[in-house]
Amino acid sequence: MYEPSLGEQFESLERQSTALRFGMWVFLASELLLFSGLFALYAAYRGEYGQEFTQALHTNTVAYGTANMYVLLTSSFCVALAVRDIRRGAQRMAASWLLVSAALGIAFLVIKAIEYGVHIHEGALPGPYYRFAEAQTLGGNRFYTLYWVTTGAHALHVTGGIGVLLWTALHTLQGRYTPEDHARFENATLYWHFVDVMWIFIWPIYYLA
Amino acid sequence: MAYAHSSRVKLTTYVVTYVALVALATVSLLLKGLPETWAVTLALLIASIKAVAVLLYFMHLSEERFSFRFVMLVSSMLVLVLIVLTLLDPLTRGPYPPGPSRNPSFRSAHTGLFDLPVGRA
Repeated sequence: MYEPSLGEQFESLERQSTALRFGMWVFLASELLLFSGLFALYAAYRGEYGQEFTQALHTNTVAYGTANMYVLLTSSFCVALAVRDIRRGAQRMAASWLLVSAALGIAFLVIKAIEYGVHIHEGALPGPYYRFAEAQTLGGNRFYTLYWVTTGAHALHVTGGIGVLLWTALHTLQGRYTPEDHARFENATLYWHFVDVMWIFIWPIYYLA
Repeated sequence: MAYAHSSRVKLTTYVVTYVALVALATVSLLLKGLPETWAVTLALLIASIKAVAVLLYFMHLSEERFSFRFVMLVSSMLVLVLIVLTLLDPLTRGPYPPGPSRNPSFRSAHTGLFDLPVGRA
């Protein structure tokens, strides 16, 4: 059984937990600024290339992106339930929800890999490798280059998130998190929700409108 | 207790939030047939509502003190400013200097890629 470890700079577990969670929110804000550069570039390219860009957008397969939207929303829901359970002291249930979420994360990556395979087959590749017959334009090239960079960065975050969820589930089963001391558990779930929030914005601008 | 707010969020809140998120995602699919300006505006509006729901209820921002919400509020505002300012360049650019889509030398530098059609009107 693990005892809650209180850092010497904190006067109570509550203060330590608050500091840990606040630090996580600041980290997420900096991650948001990373993605914002890609979103700003999207806005600039869409404004610059107009119809060429949107024509390429409509060649993207909505079904893949939509399936991944539902997968990530469901995984976020499971992670929220995991937090509810760890707060109640139901550690096994909490770990189970994290494992379900990690499995859904893997499902997301599998769907993404299938989609990437289709793009590679069609020649919808980034930069100088672009050979996509359905949108032989400079705007189309810009769209798919940015698409690969943005969804690739997101997929890397999903991969990292799966690792974090699995690691946290393992520690939960070892009894390291309790209703009194589980700030690190919550931080892991915050990261996963952040990945979901990014897809909430990537999905409509790269697949729908 | 380390968390004074530990038991505030009920299971019902999580379920209602999840159902609302799925419903909003499904509604977004109906936007495909709309004119571009409407589709983009509504898609981003729905995405923003979904993001706020996740932040408030799944990420428990609604339970946290104001300083936590302030961090996300400020960074979201900065993102918005960055996107708007970047977008203003192509939207307000005059005939000179031409943007990349209308710049013949820029386009000709990419002719190795494919046959380039006429750029944006």
